[in-house]
This record gives sequence, C-alpha cells and structure tokens, in this order.
Amino acid sequence: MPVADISWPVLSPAQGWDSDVFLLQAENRAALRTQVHALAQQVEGQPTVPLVERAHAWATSITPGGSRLAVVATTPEDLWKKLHRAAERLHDRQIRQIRDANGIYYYDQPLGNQGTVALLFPGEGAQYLNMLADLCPVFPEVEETFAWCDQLAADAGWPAEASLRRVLHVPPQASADAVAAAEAQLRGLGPSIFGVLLADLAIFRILAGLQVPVAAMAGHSAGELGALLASGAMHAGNEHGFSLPEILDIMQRQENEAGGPDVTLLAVGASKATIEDVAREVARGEVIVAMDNCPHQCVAVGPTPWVAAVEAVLTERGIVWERLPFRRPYHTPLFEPYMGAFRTLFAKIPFYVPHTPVYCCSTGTKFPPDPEAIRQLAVNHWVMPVEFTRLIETMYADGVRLFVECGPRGNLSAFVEDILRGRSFAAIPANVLRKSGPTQINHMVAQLFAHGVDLNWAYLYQNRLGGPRRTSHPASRSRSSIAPTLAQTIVDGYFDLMEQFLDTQRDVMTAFLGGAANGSSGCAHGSSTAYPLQPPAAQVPEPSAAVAAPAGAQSPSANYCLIGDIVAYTPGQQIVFRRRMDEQEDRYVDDHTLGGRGVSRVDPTQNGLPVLPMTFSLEAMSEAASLLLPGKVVIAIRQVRLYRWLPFDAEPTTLEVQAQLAACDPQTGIAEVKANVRDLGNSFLPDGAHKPASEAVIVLADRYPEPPPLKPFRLTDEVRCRSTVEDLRRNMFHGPLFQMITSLDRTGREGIEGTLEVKPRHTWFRSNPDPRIAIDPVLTDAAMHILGAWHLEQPDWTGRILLPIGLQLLEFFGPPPPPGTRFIVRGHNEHEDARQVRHGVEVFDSTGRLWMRLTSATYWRFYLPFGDVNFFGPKDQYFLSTRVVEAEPSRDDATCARCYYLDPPLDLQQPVLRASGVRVTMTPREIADFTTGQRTDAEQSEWFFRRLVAKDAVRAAWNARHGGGIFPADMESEVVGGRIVCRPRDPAIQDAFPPVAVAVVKGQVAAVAAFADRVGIALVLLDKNSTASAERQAREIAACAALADAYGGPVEDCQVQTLDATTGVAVVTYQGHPYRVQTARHKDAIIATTLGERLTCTGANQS
Amino acid sequence: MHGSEPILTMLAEVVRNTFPDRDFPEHVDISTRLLADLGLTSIELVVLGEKLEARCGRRLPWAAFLKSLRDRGASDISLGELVNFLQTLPP
Repeated sequence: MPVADISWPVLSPAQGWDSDVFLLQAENRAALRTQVHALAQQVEGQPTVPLVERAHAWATSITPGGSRLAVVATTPEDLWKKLHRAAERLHDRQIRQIRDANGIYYYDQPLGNQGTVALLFPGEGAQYLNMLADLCPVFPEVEETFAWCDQLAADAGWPAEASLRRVLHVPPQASADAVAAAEAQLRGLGPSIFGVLLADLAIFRILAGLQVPVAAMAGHSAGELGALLASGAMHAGNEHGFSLPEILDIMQRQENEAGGPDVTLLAVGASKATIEDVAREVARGEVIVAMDNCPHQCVAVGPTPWVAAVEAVLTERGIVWERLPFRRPYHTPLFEPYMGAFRTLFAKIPFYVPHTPVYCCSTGTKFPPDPEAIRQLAVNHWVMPVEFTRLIETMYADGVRLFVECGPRGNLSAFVEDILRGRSFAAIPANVLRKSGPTQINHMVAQLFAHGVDLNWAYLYQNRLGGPRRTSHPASRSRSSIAPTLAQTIVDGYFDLMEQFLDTQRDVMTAFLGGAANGSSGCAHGSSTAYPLQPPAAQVPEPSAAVAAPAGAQSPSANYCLIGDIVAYTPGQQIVFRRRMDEQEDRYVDDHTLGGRGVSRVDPTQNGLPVLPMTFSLEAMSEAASLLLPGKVVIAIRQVRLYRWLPFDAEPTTLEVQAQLAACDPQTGIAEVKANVRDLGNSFLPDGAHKPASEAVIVLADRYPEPPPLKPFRLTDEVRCRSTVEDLRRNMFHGPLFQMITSLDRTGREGIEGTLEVKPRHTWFRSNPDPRIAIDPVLTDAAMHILGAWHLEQPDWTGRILLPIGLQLLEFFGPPPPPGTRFIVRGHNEHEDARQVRHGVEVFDSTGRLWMRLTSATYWRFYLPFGDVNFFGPKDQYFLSTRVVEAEPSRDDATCARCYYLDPPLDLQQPVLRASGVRVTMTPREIADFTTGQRTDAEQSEWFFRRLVAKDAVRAAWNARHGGGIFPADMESEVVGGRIVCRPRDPAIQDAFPPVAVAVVKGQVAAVAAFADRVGIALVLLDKNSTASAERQAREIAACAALADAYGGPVEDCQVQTLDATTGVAVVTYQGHPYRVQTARHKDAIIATTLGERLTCTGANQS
Repeated sequence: MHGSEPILTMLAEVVRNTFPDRDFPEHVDISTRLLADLGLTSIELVVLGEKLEARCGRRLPWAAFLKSLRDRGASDISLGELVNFLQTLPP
C-alpha cells in the first residue's frame, strides 16, 4: 500500500512527550509479523487515536518472553511507515535483527536471555547545556532533582540567578551572550562534576521507576561516585557544610586564577598502546594515559612541551587529537600531592557492602566486598588512570550483555560500542545529544524490551492518561530491580554526599592551585598501627639539592642490603637514601647484562651492558618503605612504572631512592608508600637526577595476607614444552645467579608451567654474604623467566625480544623463602598486541599455596631486524643485518662475496640499547673507542652500525669459505685510508679476513665483502613512489659510485655504458676500460657492488 | 577524479560493512548525515576513517578533514561532504 494513499491528520503530541514507544509481542517471529500488520491496520483505520493511548493499550498485554518488536514513533504516519518497514524486514528470514536508529528494534536472539544488565554512570565531560531539561516536564523526579539547586541557593540567601540550575538549564529566551556564558561556566570544575552527578541521579530515578533489573554498576571518573551511591556502597551523613553557591564561587575563582604545573590534557583518537608508543618514542614517557576510554579514544596528560612533541607525531601519523580545555591532571600521579582533602573526606564517609555489585574504574575489576578496600580504591581513583576499556572487558567476561548508560550525553555507550565491537552486546544510552530526552527514553525502553528485558511499562504513562500512578509488575525477574523506595533512600544520601564532595573539591583545588599541601602534621611514627589516613606534610626534597638528615632525626638501623647513606629522614613520613652503584660491589649485576652473554670465544666472560634489574629497584623501594614503617612487611607492590634503564658505568654512579608515606589505615594497619628510584647521572644521561627511572607504590601490612586460590589454568592445545632449560638460559641475558628455573613442563595458548629452586644469596654482594632483604629481587626476577620460555615455544620469533616496562601488581603471601625452596611457577598470558605483551605469574608450593603473584607485567616487544636468527642455535650464527643476494657482485664461489644491508631500528638507536649492542658485538678496544669518542648521537649510531654491518658481511664471507662461525666481538675493525678493515681478534686465526666496503646513507648501511683484490659499494635511496625511470637513473648513479669506491677514483670518471634491467648488471667504463657492476633494489634502496672486474670487449671477465 | 555516484555507493558499502549490526536507510544520498541520520557517533567517525583508508589502500588526511569540519563549527557530516573529500584527494 503506497504511503501517499493515506491522508494523515496532524496531531499535537502530549505535553512534553514528542514520541511514544510501541511494544509488540508474539509467540514467534511469524506471529509477531501478524501483530505488526494488525497494529498497522489499527493506525490506518483510526489515525486520530492519540499515540499514547494506543501505545499504552499495547503495553498492558506484555508478558515475559516471546518474540518482540519495539517501534518508537512520533506521529501515526511515522508509526505506520516504521511498521511497514518492520514487517518487510521480519519477512526476510536472512535478517536476524533490526537495529534501526530511527526507532525499530527486533532481535532473533535477545541478549536479555544471554546475560545481565549493568548501569554505567558517566562523569565530568558528559555535561551539555540544557541536559535533561526536556525531561523535567515529563518526569517529576527529574524536575525535583534539578530544583534542588534552586533550593540550595535560596537557603544560602542568594538570588535565584545564582542557582546552578541557571547554568545547567538556560531559559529559551536567553540571549546568545547568556548562552555562551552558561556554556563557559558549565566547563568549570564544579558545574561539570556536580551537574553530571545531578543528571546521573535524575536518570537513575527514571530507571528506578522503570524497575530495570540491574545486576551490576560502574562509573567513569567522577561517575564512579554515582555508581557507589546507587549500589549502596556509600551513604552520606546529614550535615551540610558549605552552601553550594559559595563553594562553586570559590572553585570557579580558583580555576580562573592561573597556577599549578604546566600540564596539558590531550584527547586522542587512538588506543592506549598507540599513545604510550608515541610517548615513549618522543616524550620519554613523560606523557601518560590518564583515561583509556576505548580503542579509539584516550586522554593523555603530561608537561605541555612533551605533549606538543606527541601532538606532532600524531599529526604526522594522521591521528585525530584535540587539546582539552582543562589543566587538572586528574587520574595521574601528578595529582597525588593535592589529595589530602580527598583522603580526609573519604575517611569520614561510611562505606558499606554494596547491595549490587559495583566495578572499579581504576582496576577494571569488581570492588572487593570489604568496605575499607572500597574506600581506598574510591579515593585513589583520582590519582589512578581510568581503565574503562578493561572495566568493560571484565564486565562482559562476567556476563553483562546489556549496558545502560545512566546519565547524560551517551559518551559511555559509544565507548562500549568501540570496545566490544563484533561481539554480542548492546550499549544503550538513556540520553543523547541528538534526540529529545523523552524520545531517547523511549528508544532505551524499546531496546531493553526487544532484548527481552521486562520493565514496569506503566511508569511511562503515569500522569499522561489521567489516572493515578500505575505500576505493572513484571511477571518474573531473575534479578533484583531498582525499587523506587530504594532509589528514594539513595537520593537522600546522594545530595548529602555531593555537598561533601564539592567541599572536598574546593580543598583540593586550593591545594592544587595554591601549591600548598594539606596542613596536617602527618603520620605518627614509632607505632605499627596508629597512622592517620593523611599524606605527610613534608615534601620529598629535590634530589639535585643538597639534602641532609634533619637535625634531631633519628636514623634507622640501615642494615638492609641496598640502603646506603640516608640523606633525609622523617620517621613515619619520608626518607631519601643514596647508594653507590659499583659493579665491583654489586656482583649480581654481572649476571644481568643487557644484550646477552656468551658473545665471544676469545673472552668467554664478555657480556652485555650491566643494568640494574627492575626487581632490585623494587627491592630498594621496598627497603625504604620498610624503614619508614618498621615492623611491617611488604605485601604488595603496585603501579610499577619503568621509565629508563639504570646502567652500571665503569666509574661508580649514585643511586637515589625517595619514599614518602601516602596513606595508612589505622584499622587494617595497611599502609602505602610512594617511592621512586633514580641515579644522579650516568654516562648516557648526565642529568638523570631530574628523571626518575622507576616508581611504584609499596603496600605494607602487619602480616602477610592469606594466599588466595590459584587462578584458573586451563591450557588450550596443551603440549609438553619442547624448549629445554638450557635453551631458555641461552636466550635470556641473565647469568647463573638468576637461573633458577629447573624444568619447563607444559604449555598451551594460555600460558606455561615449570619449576624453580631458590638459589643462595651469599654471592650477590662482594662485602655482604648475608644480605637482609625486603623482597627477594633475584627470585622475583627469576620467576618471570618462565614467560621467556613461553615465547620460546611460539612458532614465530618476530617481536619476541621483550623487556619489562611496567607492572600493575606484585603480591607476596609470605616472607622470602630460604635457599633450596622448590616452587611451581606458572606464566599466564593476559594480553598481546603488536607492541606489548602482558603476563601474569604465580609462584606456589606443591600444595598449591601461593608465595607470590604477579599481575599484568607489561613487556615492550622489540623488533630487531635479524637477518638470520635461531633461538635454538649457536649465537655466532646471528646476523642482525640482512643478506641481499641480488646485490652481490659475483656468482663466483671462489670470492664468497656477501652483501648485507641494515636500516637500524629505532629501538636499537636508543643510547642504552645501542651501548648494549656495542658491548656484545665489539672488541674491548672498539668498546673503548665508542665510549670515549666525542661524537654526536647520530655519529655514534653511524660508528656502530657501520662496523656491525661490515662485520656481518665479512664473517658471512669468511663462513662461506672456511665454515664454522665467528662472533662479531671476535673481529676487530679499524679504519685504514678511510676504509674499514677487519682483523681476527683471535690470534689463532691465521687467515686474513676479506676486504669489505661499506656505504651509509641517512643511517641506512650496506656492506659487501669478498675474497677479491677490490670491493666497492654504493647506496642510493629512492622515494617511495619513484618511477621506473627514476629507479634506472638511481642504478646508474650507484653503479658509477660503486666502481669509483672500488678504485678510489673520482665518480665523474665513471660512465655507464649498459644497464640490463633484468639482471641489474651494469657495464661501467673507468679510464677507458669496461667493468662489471651489480645493481639491485632492496626495499627503497638501490645497492650497487663491484669487485672491479674488468670486462673484455666481448663482455667476459678478464682473468 | 571520479564521479560522485560510484563514490557514494562505495561509501554506503563501507559504512554498512563497518557497522554490520545496524539497520541503515535503504536509500542514502549526498544529503544524508552521518550522525543525525545514520546514528554514528564521533568515535565511529574515527573508525570509519580507518576503514576508508583500508578500502582506498592509502593513508587519507582524515584527521585534517575532521579538524576542518570542527573548525568551521560543523555539527554533522553529510555523505556529500565525504564524497567531495574523496574526490579532491591528490592522486
């Protein structure tokens, strides 16, 4: 039936409602289609019946289950059209669902039968002008919620214009200037957080009226408070402190005053991994991700100059970014110094076991049931990143399939869409920018209905049909719904809590903008239990400044193995100690050499670059924390971040450890100490004093906790490990001290299992055979080796060189075990992408009792462009550069000509990693030359890679003629007459190495070596989209240059006679004679090589 | 330079393939708006940009395109603007 055949009346919608939702239900899909036709006929036959009456009539017959279709319509004509389209779609059996944003919803497999419903509460950033204003005339609860602002202003004796309501909801007749002013105000701290929490509450009251069956809740940033309140985890007292207008006035004034650190917030249309990648690349990790919203949106924070560097790379990569108009580094450690007021407030708020499970946005997991633990996580949310992606993944894994956004705008629903794309779920916003408030409520109801979720449909029609408020009770509920009475009790607490929250915000902003921390006197000391939950007043001194232990301060008994000179110490509050990093004393570092071991036959003791193990940094921080709080034990280390290596120089450097009490709970005795480690400069980073190398939060308690059960460990495709312990040891850069793994047993997709035995500790230090430790750093490091074994088991070896960059949580359930203790160790796979892998580790005894658990250890994947590598073969067969056979100048086996090429990866150009490469591929004389040479960074890279590729070409040619293998470190290079010459380091090798020629252009290196009188090479780089003629021209240039290199003559004297495009062979004349030059294209480079072979007039080589 | 119809058809196909669980209007034209009419979100515009790059087999100045729209205060993007963007790309 054509639409044009019907004459549709124009109806005025009910007051405030601009649409209605039609709920259709039948036994099956065919019957449902019949229902659709029936409704369409009703509309067609009686087009003047108000939509609301017809919608209500259909809603009253809903029963649980069945096949369901929902339509949101604005007019009878709109309804008729949508029904028509729905009938067509239902008729097509290929269509399994209808999700039409215009308002048609149907699902063959409704999600309400597959999982649960969760509420998501948005935080600041979700606000917009007039949010929910159009719901006020529709739902009295919403009007009542916002009207509270007016009441507050009146109670304070302020004029009505001072009410926050005037900022949130601008009258229709407001001028453009007034609108602009309100928008500006709404971006302020108070209105944004407070406004969104109000709107969240208003929506929550609607959902309570609808009796949505909620199985879980969570919030984003400040929205977490909404979730905690709605879940019953937080209640509030009855005493109001400051009036709202006064608080907002103070806060806004503070915002308007410039001040605080120069940080910038950046919204980026890319994943967390991408941002971290870029930040590490160009910002030394100074820019960190504060909010991981979804795979296509993060918020990064950092010092403005570093953020600018990140922006430049993002622009170059075509990634969308935008600076945010905020300068508050929430959700980063930068906010820690200003947390005093928050912690004070939260200490006063009672917490309870929630009646509905609530998830934490800092950890991405459920809040623990312990109210004190909830308190800690809730307050620390402000200094921890928002892990929304992880949160949603966890909720999905726990069975949530329907995510209802309980607040304004719909941002979180878009995040969820992005996170779970491709999986079975629905993200349903209760409010969006582009639809009216009532209409989006109808869309939300429609989607929940179509997914089989039963609601109190009558709630939609209260006050609309003339009768009293009606409540329909869904016939069956598998989960508890939000009862209106419960919602009302939450409302009371909500208002109270928000007042207190704003009070706190004011204190926080005062501290943050004014730079003054809380004036508390800080922690008591000398007691293991009486620590107030406040940060200490004293700040850790600047490391570069001359610091000394305060007069009268009592130094602790410093017999921990890493504690050196204590330079600042306030018992129970903060400590700074320094210690020499001396390779002679710190013998453990001989067994922790970056770059590897066993790299020379001439000197089997030659190893890579000694660097401080991450676990020794953790030990140092743990010892500092233990000194601050004597009598307590380290039960966990969390938020470990590694920013740079701490190499051991030839001359001892100085390690500095700073630790400061962050919190201590007098009831549980659990304390947290923030600590960091740095050196005061080394040969790679002279100004290292200003750059922490690592930081972590050390958690201490009066005793070790009872260990939890082991994590599930079901291995898909389980097999016995094919790698041996020897394979593992050969591929780790750790020496015997760290080699505790005793067997590799079984492995599968999810992880690996083996055993280890704790080794004695008496050889760690030269002068301390019985070191006192807080954790066992060697055992902790060794346990992680099981992860290396898992990577050895993988068929692909690309990106399997891993170095740790961070660690979420390390837990200890007992003291360091004595040497000889045997453990089972399991490695768990948590996450893997192109740049990072994340693992967990469990160490437990034969009864299954955990000693240590590591969660989310993040490793950076290095893609070294090994031309030849075999993790199970001898290391003298490793070639970092790649052989380019097509560019080799002769097929004559006698010359054994070999050509190698390398475009050095950025990873290997990083100074410490480059130095480690030098340590394992160069001789002592070369290492000294590299270390003492006065060169720029680029010149250092060229020095190294030029020699490395030359050595690869020479040893490959040598191997071809003599067999066997030679380590690069067993060849010594020197420059003679401008050319590199390689000689054996081993005096037993009598035969000379072949001559080599090397070309370097823009960092890229090519080398050719052959047993011939002359070798010459040239390298020309092409544009990526170069034409065939440009390539030919480049080959001709390269051919001339290679011949000139071989003869040491001017390139102008060389001229190409012929160039065979198929073979790449060029005939080049020099001083009147023709010579053979081989050219080849490798990636975007033209390589030309020659042995200076003079050709006869027939083209044959002249012997 | 290509005619707008094939590009429009290609765009519609990419949008449908990128968001296969949605029902989009059967007929779209150059006035169809991505946000208001197709119901996409701003994050999904970023996703769409990635898919278009994959379809075109090259990097597109998508970020600059979105920024230009934002700079001129546009609250939505029409398929016509997208067609024009793709038509005027350098070879």
